[in-house]
Amino acid sequence: MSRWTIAAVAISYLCVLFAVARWGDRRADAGRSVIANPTIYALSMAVYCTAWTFYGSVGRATANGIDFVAIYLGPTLAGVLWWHVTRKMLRISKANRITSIADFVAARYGKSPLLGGLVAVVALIVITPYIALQLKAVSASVDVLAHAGSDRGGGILGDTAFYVAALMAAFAILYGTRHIDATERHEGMVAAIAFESIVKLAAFLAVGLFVAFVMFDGPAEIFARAAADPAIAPLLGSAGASGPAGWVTLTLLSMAAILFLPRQFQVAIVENVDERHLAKASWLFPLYLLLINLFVFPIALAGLLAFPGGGVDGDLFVLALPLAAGATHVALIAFVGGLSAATSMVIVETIALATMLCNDLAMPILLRIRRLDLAGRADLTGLLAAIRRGSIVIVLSLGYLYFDLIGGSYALVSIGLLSFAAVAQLAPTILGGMYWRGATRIGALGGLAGGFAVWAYTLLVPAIARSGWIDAAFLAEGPFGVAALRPYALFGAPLGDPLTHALVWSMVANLGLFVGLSLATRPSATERIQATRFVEAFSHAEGERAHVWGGQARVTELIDLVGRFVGQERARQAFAAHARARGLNPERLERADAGVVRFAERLLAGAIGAASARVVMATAVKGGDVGLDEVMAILDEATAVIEYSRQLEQKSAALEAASAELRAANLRLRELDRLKDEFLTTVTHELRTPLTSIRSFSEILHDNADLSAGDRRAFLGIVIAESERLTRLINQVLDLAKIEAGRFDWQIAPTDLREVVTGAIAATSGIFAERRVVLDAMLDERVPPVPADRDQLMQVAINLLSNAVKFSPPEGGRVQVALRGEGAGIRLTVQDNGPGIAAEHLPLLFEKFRQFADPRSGKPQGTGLGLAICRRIVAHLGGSIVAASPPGEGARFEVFLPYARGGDLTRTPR
Amino acid sequence: MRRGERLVGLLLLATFLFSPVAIGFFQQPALVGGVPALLLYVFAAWALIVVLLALVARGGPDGEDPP
Repeated sequence: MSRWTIAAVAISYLCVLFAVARWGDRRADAGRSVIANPTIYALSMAVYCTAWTFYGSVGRATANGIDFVAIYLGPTLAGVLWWHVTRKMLRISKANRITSIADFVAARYGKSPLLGGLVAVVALIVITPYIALQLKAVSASVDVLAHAGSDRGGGILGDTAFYVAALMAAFAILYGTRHIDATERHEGMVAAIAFESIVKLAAFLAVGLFVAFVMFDGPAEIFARAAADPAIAPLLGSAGASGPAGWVTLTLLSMAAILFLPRQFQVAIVENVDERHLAKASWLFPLYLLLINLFVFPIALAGLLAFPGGGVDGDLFVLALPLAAGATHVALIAFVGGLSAATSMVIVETIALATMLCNDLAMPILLRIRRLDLAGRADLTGLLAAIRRGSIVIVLSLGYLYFDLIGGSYALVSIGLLSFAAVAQLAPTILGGMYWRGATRIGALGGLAGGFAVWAYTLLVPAIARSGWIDAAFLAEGPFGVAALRPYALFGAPLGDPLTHALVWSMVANLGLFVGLSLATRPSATERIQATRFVEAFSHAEGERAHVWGGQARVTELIDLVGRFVGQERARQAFAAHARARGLNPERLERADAGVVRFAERLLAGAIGAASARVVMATAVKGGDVGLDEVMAILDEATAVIEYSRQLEQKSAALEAASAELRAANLRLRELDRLKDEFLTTVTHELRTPLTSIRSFSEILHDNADLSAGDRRAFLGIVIAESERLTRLINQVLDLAKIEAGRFDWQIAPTDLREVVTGAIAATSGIFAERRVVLDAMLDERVPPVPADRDQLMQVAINLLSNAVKFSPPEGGRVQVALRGEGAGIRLTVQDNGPGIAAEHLPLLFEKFRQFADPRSGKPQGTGLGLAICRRIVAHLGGSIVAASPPGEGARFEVFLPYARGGDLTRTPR
Repeated sequence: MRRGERLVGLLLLATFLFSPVAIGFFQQPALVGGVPALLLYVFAAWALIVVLLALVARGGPDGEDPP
C-alpha cells in the first residue's frame, strides 16, 4: 500500500473527526447538547483506551499471558468506587469551578500556586512520553502498512508522526480553546472523543472477528493449536511473569490512572454535564473495556502461531495478521482504529495539560510580575487563549521531540506504565485531601515531591539509561558503584519487578512525608476553609451567607475585573444571574458583599485556576479605596470565624448535654438525700414508739412493786413484743445495708419454692387468723428447684403475704397465692382484694423508704423497707418482681425466678 | 444509602475475584470447553461484576438515593 493511500485515509478520518466536533459545537450553541447523555459520557471516558490498548495489549499478551487484563480490571474496580470517590470529586469541582487535576490539588491546599505548579510540571514530564508513545504507535502502524521497515526517512516533512501531531494540535486548538470559562464545556471535543471510542471498539472487534473466524476456524481452533504448541502452551495459564505482586501493582496503578490521569479528569469531571450520568457510566465503561479486550488474547495467540520464531513484533500483530492474510482492507480498518485511539488520547491529554500549564504555571507567574501589570489590562481573554494555544503546541512539540529522540528504543507498554506510576503519586494527596481534614499544604508538597523524586529515580532514570543516554553500569552497580542505591533494587530490597519496586518505595516516601508533615504542621486559615469545603462536600452546602461586610469594592469594578478574563458581556450576564438567584436586583447592587466577592473569585477560578484567581483578586483593585488582598484576608477570616463558631456550637452542645446529665444526677442525689432524711425520721419514729412503750412499762414495773402477778405478766409480755419489733426493724435496716454494700452472705442452693411458700403460709397463718382473712393457695404439685437462698426467699414470701393481709378489707378479706412453673422459671403470685395501689405510686413502690398511706386509715404502714428488700433479693437471684393494681381488683405482686441465672451468684445486685 | 452500601459489598467481591488468590486457582494451561481456563475465569468474573454494577446502578428495592 502506498504511503499516499495511507495518508489519504488518515486525513479523511481526521476530517470526519473535525466534522463531528463541529456538529457537536453547533448543537451545543443551538441549545441541543449531544453530550448531555450518559452513554456519550461513558464513551468519552473510553479515552482511557489509547494506542497502547489498541496495539500494546496484544504485545504484552504475547509475553506475559493474561496480565494485560489487570490494566482494565483496575478501572472496573474504580467503577465500583465512582459512587463514593468520583461523585465527591465532581461535587467539589463543580462547587469550586475546578478545571484540572493540578487546580484540584492547589484549591484543596489553600489555593497554593506552588502545589498547582508542581503538579502541572510533573504532569508535563510524565505525559510527554505518553504522548510520544501515541505518535510512535501511529508512525509504526504506517510503516507496517507501507512495508517500509523502521526507517522513517525523508526528514521531518516525510514523517507521518509529524503530520499527525500537527493535525492534532490544530484540532485541540480549534475545539479545545473555544471558550475560556471552564463551565463552558468542550462539547464538540467530547462528541468527537465519543465517536472515536466507537470507531476504535468497532475496528478492534472487526480485526478480532476476522482473525478468529476468517483466518482461523473460530477461537477454539486458535486455543487448541496454541495448547498443542509447546512453545505457546505455557502462555495459556500465565498471569504475568512478575507474579502476584506484579498483578496487584498493575491493578492498583490502573485504578489510580482512571481516577487521576489528566485526560480522565478532563472527561469525567470537567466535561461532566450531570452528576447522575455517573451511575450509568459506572457499568457501561467497564463493559466497554471488557469488549475491547475480548479478542486481545486470541489475536496474540494467532500472531504467535502465524509468525513463529518472533519475526514480527507482538505490538503490531493487529496490523500484521490481516496483512499476512492479504486482507489490506481489514488492515486499513485496524489502522484507523489505532489512529482513533491515539488521536483521542492526544487531543484530550493536550487540552488538559494546556489548561493546567496556563492556569497553574503561566498565569501565577505572569500575574506576579508586577511590571506586566496584567490584572490592570483591559482584556485578557485573548492572552489566555493565546497561552493555551501556545501550551498545546508546546506539549505536542515536546511529545514529538521525545518520540524522535529516545522514544524509538523502548517498548510501548513500558512507557505507559511509567506514566501510570507517576500519576499514582497523586493518590495520597488527592484522596487524603478529600477525606482527611488534617492534611496540610506542607504535607502535600512533601509527599508529592518525595513520591515523584523516588519515582524518577527508580523508573524514569533507568528508562533513560536503557535508552543509552546514561551508562548502563549505573543500573547494574548503582551510582558510583554504591550497590544499595541501584535504581531497580533500592537498599537491596527484594521487591520483584521494577514497577512493584518503584511503587512500593515511592509510596513509602510519598505517604510517609504526606502524613508525617501534615501531622507536624498547622494549616493556615485558607487551608482550613478549603479542607472543610472538600471533606464535607456532600454535607456542607456552600454557605452563601449574605453576612454584611462593610467592604468598599463596587460590583461594577468586580464585573470589569472578571470581564477582562472571561469577556465583559459574559461577566455581566453571570453577575446578573447570580444577583437574581439571590433575589437581588442586579441594577441596584452597588457595593459588593461577601457573596458577590466570592462569586467573582469562583468565576475567575473557572477561567484561570483557583490559585491564580486568588492572586488576581488580591492584586487587581489597587489604588482604589480598598486593597482587595485585605478584602480576601477579611473574607478568609470571616469564614474561619464561621468555622470556629461551628466547632464552638458543637462543643457547647456537648457541654449542654453534660450539664443536663449533671443536673439529672444532682436531682437524683437531692431526692436520695431527702429520702434519707425521711427515712431517718421514720426509723427514729419507728424506733421511738416501741422504745417509749418498753420504757414506760418498765418504769411501771419498776415503780410499782405491788402489781398483781397477772398485770406484771401482761406488761412484761408487751415489753417482750415491743423488743421483738425493735429487733426486727433493726435487722431489716441492717439487711438492706448489707445487701446494698454487697456484704450479704448469700446461701445459694437448689431450693424447692413450694416448700418455701408453704413455710411462709404457716408462719403468717397467725395474722391471717387474727384478721380473719381467707387464704387460697394454688400451688403446683411439683416445681423444679431453683438456685436461691432459702431464708431470704422465705422473707420475700412472708413480706408479700403480710402486706396482703395488712391491706385486706376488715370484712371478707381474701388473699390468693399461686405458684406455677412457667417456661424458663417459676412464678409466684400474691393477690389481695384490698383497695389496691394508686397508679402514680406503682413505679415507686419498690424504692427504699417509700411508704404509702393506707387509703383507709391515711397513715403509713410498715417501715418502707420490706418491698425494697424483696426487690433486691429477687434481683440478686436473677428474677424480677412487679406489682399491678387494676382498678377494683386489689393489688397483685408477681415474683418470677428463673431456673438458671447467668453470672456469679455471689455478686451484689445493683 | 443502600446503593453506597451495596457498592462497598461489590468492591469487596470484585477485590477478591480479581485478586491473585482467586486468579491463582486457574493458572494452568488447561482448556475448558475449548477456552483456556484462566481466560474463561477472568472474563466471566469481569462480566459478573459489570452485570452487578449495572443492577446496583439501576437501583433495586431501596436502591434509590436522595438526590
